[in-house]
Amino acid sequence: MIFMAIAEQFGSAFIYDAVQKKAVLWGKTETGAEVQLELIHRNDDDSHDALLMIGKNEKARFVLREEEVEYLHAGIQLKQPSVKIVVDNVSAAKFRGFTKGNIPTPDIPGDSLP
Amino acid sequence: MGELLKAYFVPNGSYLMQEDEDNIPDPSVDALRRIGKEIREELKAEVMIVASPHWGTKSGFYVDPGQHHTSFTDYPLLPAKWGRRPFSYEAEGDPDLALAIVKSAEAMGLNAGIKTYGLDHGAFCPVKVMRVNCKIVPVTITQRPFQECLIWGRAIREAVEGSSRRAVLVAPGNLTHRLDLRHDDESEVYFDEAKQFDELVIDLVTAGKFDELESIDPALLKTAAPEAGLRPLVLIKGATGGRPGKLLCYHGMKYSVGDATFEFATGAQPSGG
Repeated sequence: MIFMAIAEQFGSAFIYDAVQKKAVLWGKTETGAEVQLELIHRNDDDSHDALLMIGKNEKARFVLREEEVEYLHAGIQLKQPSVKIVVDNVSAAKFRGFTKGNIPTPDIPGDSLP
Repeated sequence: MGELLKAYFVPNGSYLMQEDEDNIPDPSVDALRRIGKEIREELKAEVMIVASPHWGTKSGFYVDPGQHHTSFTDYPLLPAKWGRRPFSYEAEGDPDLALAIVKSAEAMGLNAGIKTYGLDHGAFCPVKVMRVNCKIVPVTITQRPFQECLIWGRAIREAVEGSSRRAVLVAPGNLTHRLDLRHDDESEVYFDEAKQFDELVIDLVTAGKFDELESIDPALLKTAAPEAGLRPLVLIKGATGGRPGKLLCYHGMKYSVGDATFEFATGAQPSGG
């Protein structure tokens, strides 16, 4: 419940932190476990170094590419690691944009963008 | 033969949509409305190429070739401290012109391609306030070097001129862009270095001295942190040939951003459609 409480503070389940230069998606698995997906670094080929946490446990570190995410009616499906993340459509669309090069107005402002 | 009729550098903060909808006085909103009227009634543009400062790809230059574009919400929403209401926008695209831009850019040696992206707020906010009804081609501003952004602008112009379109280019951005310095009291938030930076850029742009943008004091540049690193102005230089800009509006205090609005002639002669 900690992750979702943070999401409610920002009005979105996907935020950009310009201080740490990373984006965070909060959602749930199909079984209701809390998921936190951090996009830690945008690489030169526009992929992202990513960290997936389920509950409080680190599940995987991987490189996320835009074509490796499927957008579903009520969430997203990562191909590898294979995880469905239940999240609202507005946040999923913001996440999708980020994977395609979007730099959002930061939810946590820093002294520079990106 | 197509024509690039004019180019514009405009602000894109989500607050502009809220002020527009709530009829809150703001000179930047008024300037956007005037530009929209000009595009609709005088230039009679068929298509608008929009280079969002929030589409910052690192790998290369991209165009969304979609037939229809929908927006996504990439700004803080309520209840966050400076969150806004969710706004949305939809527009028809111009796949043929989009693909022509890619072809033109590739011929000039850029790494260019297509992505299905849509409209982020950097694109749809000013367009929504302008109330234009033309087709839209979203293009990246990128994080690429200035020299490549200059070529990107040339490629866009060449693609337009090789088409049959009456087009305008909109490259939104802010001069100073220090959202971390936002303050509850808007009258207190603007700081001296920001004013100094904004005035310098305005002087350079209105004098057509685009090349000098690259030699601004790095410390001042870092302090001002302009949106997309001033690339929107470099892109405009590439597309227009570097003609001096005309300052339409400057509003340098709200939320620690320098809201400047410029228009740029392109050398094309608007014929009224």
